[in-house]
Amino acid sequence: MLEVALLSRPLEPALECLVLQDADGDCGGIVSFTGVVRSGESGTIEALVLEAYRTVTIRSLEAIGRDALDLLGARRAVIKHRVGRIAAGEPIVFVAAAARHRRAAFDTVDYIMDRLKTEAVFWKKEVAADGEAWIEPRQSDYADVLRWSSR
Amino acid sequence: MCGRFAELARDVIDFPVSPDGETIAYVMGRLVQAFPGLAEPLRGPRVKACLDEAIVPFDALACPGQVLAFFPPVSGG
Repeated sequence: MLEVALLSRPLEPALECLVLQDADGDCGGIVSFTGVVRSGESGTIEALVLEAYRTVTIRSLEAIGRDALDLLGARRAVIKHRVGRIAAGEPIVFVAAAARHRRAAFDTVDYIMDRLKTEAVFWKKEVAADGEAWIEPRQSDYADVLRWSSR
Repeated sequence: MCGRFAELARDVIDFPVSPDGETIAYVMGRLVQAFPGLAEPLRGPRVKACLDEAIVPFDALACPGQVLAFFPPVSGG
């Protein structure tokens, strides 16, 4: 089972984890990841502005989530992503998986995050005290996703 | 237009196409004439065209009434 959402409101990771816990008594492992907007090494980043093309973006998240469940065997996965302006320090993405055993849950979240970082249909602008800049995936993000090509 | 492309042109552009349709590549050429700042970014790698909410190749036909979007390289989540 897969749940995907684009949110214009703040994420509440602790609450999301509770919902996942209650959902399925047969899962022995629940793993969650919360991505947070960084203020950068110099602390000058004030916010990220995320644009999406709603239908296509949701479809891209659903495809990544479905592939993760098919490949890694978790029972449930949740992908919730914010759009709009997100201030430094605020959660921007929540990904979680519930599985019978812990390894599938860890791998599912790891896989989803690796693909989200390079394939999810978002355009991200960094807003800093000295200006704004569109950002694209780093080379390390592309390298990360290749880790799964042999699975 | 999405992401940084919207900053180089406009968010929404009403663009007449012939009743028989025009390839997206041809529409791109006409767009570049109207917005020269798009010329280089539109030819970049990982740029995609989206027609009525589906990613399509640049030789696909865009017809009047359809919604065509150009995606700059995605930033990821």
